[in-house]
Amino acid sequence: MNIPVFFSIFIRSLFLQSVWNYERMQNVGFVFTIIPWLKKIYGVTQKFYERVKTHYGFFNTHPYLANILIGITMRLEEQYAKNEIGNEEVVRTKTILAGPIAAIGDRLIWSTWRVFCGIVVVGYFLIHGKNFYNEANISVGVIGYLLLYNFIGHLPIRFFGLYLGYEYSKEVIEKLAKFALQKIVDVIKTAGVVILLFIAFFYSLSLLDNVLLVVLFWSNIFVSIIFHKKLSEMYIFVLLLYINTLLLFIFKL
Amino acid sequence: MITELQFLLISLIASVFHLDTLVFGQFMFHRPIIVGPLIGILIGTPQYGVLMGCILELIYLSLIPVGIKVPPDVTATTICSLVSYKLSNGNLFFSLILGILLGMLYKYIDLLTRTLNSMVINWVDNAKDEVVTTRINLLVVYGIVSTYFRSVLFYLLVFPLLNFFMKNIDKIGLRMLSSSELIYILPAIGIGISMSHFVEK
Repeated sequence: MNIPVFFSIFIRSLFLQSVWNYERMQNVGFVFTIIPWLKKIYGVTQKFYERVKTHYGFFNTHPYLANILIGITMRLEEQYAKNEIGNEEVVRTKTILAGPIAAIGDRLIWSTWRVFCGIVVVGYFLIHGKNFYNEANISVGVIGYLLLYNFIGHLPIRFFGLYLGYEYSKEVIEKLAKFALQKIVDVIKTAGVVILLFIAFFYSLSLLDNVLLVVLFWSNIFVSIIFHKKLSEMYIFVLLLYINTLLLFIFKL
Repeated sequence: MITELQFLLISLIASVFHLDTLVFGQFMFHRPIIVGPLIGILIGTPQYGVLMGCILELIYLSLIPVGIKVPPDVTATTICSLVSYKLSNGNLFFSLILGILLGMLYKYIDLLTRTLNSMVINWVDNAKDEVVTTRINLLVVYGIVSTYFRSVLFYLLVFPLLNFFMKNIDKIGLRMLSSSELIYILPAIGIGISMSHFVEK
């Protein structure tokens, strides 16, 4: 693979959602990303413009794992240029794989990795006790979060996703299946719950000088867990914000 | 107290964080735990930023943008809550309520922009071959520039209103509803929600 073109595509993939729209979703970002590759294969010819317009159709998947699909499309375009496959196969593969890849991304990244990183950094702050906002080192928390999230999860997924998509084409899905992603998700989630329990326990120790606060703190945890089955996060938060404010107002009287 | 220059600086810098939400990278610079402390430094009270960042990060952790589902804007919520908190000298209750409402307002503005984008993309369909790639590049630039200035405009309109409301909060007798102990309890809601998210889904 041509290294400068590969890096150009990698950088362009960061703009995948720049013109997200309801009609064709990430289509502008997708075609913007793949233009250097199409140019490399076809040169600036009639065929190049034809392929650009072909890829301007509907496209939507997870923004990080999209790079796998971009890599696959790059390989398929190569095969199309050699007349090994037809246009229909290129477009169909793109459309068929976008859904499953989005589902993996939502579960692995949005629902697990991002939440886990958030818990770790908030845990770092809260472990300093009830005056965490005065005592914790801000730069450790902020930089630590960005390094953890991006250099262990985000950027490697984008970078190797692009490479693996191109290298293994459609077989990459089988390779991904061997990774036992569900086990990874389960391990991260279990670790997240343990960290949350650890944070809650140590944080509440710092409230011991006022028993009412300890009771309210643990009550809020239990009520949030119970309500989360039926209500959205925002409703729970606003509801408990009202209740806590009123309770503290009454107890002060 | 926040000066006009600080308001302008916050608007300009906060809008860069908004680019990270969707149009560029998604490196998570837009999360409350990053935006809070950094804007906190700008307004001279980083500890307020850490406080808001931690509370809101936990609440918004499990809100996921799936397909066309767009959650309330976390960045706008954090910045508006933080600015309100500073302006009201520590009225956490009203700062968070206002922040959440403004975060929802920003979400609707974002949805409008996405609808507008559906019309703008037709510009490439009608283009002659020679200008197709130029128009695609210009659309990407449009996406970045429109998002940035939309955010700048949003904050420049919202900050004076927050300033007015928070300065007059004592006159309408709402300060009594604020309790300093609320700070110590609120992380519990986020801990509960996050725990439930990890256990159930």
